[in-house]
Amino acid sequence: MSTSSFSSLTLDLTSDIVLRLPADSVVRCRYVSKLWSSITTDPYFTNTFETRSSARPRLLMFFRKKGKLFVFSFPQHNKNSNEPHDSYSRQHVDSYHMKYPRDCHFSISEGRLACLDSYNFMDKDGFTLWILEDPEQNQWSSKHFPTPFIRSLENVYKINGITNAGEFICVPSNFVKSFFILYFDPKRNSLREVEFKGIADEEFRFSNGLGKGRIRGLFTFPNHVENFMSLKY
Amino acid sequence: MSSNMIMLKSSDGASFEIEEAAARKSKIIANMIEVECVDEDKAIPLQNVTGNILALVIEYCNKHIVDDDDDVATEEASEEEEEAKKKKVDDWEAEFMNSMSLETMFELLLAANYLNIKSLIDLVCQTIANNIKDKTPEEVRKIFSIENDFTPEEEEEIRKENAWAFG
Repeated sequence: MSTSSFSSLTLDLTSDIVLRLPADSVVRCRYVSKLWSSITTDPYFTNTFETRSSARPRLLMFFRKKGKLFVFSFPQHNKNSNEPHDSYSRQHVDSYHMKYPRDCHFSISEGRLACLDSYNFMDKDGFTLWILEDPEQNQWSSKHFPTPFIRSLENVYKINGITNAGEFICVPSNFVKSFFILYFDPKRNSLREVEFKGIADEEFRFSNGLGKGRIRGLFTFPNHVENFMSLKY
Repeated sequence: MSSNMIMLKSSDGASFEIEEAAARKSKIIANMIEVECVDEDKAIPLQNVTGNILALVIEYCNKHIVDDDDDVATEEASEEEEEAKKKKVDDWEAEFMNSMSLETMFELLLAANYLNIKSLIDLVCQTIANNIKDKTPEEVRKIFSIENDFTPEEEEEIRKENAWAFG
């Protein structure tokens, strides 16, 4: 076995390979050698990575349990996909667990600051979206949307974010193993569902000491673009 | 047909006959053809590519030239047919890459780079990336034959800063 072919890879080719890795793998690569560390912290590399990454926005999802914050990152469901029903299983999941630092509050934006009158669909006839039109004058405009759900789902799902494409992301208030995320398009008044399987399957629960109970408080953060902003030296 | 065949010669002296259309997948060979420095009776010597790797490159080029022809012939193809065709190519590429060792992949990547075949560079880089995605730094070093030139202190520092990636 000739080791020469490995070590004779040019910097360009090495960089080309590492650019195709997810962010956490790239960070591990910094640790391979000083050369690899300099390749992956080079501005050309971090900029290219961010450009490529912005073409495939991801949906961050998190829940807290036993004093830990579990963060998952999925490919965001493509609005242009004709499939009304997609499913992702754990194989496609990057997961990071970290100690949960403090109470997190989530704001919703659509280019401008936006705010929902309620996280729930509890209103009988729908929900209102407030958009900050002029921060200096403190002017807000409001839009009213009819509830997209049949009555039985109203208590189960809540709105938890808006994608760049203007779709509302609805997440279940609790789950056991797998669950559906609903994307509500207010313009077309249509719903699409994406199934997420095995986020907390038996193996995952066991290795993290999560027990068997339902997991509550699932949050999403849409349009996430992986980059190394906070990691630049 | 035979008038469009050209000869390639590997670094270890093996000769291969390949359709000109397939050989044009390589920008380098396409350029050589353009400036007419390809002699019909003489093989093009490729000093940086061994016979077994060149055979793989030719297999890839032959497969993809057929697909390109198909695309032209069925311009009116429905979206479904397009998708089915794309899946067929993807499946072929997956099996093609699956059949080789990491060592072969690196040699193939160097050959694709030398011959300037963009789509093959993309394919091999992506496959290698998928291979090392979940590996530890130690395992990556082994695969790329890289020596660890960090001191234990520097190593500890990086681990501390990036603890989240080592979860």
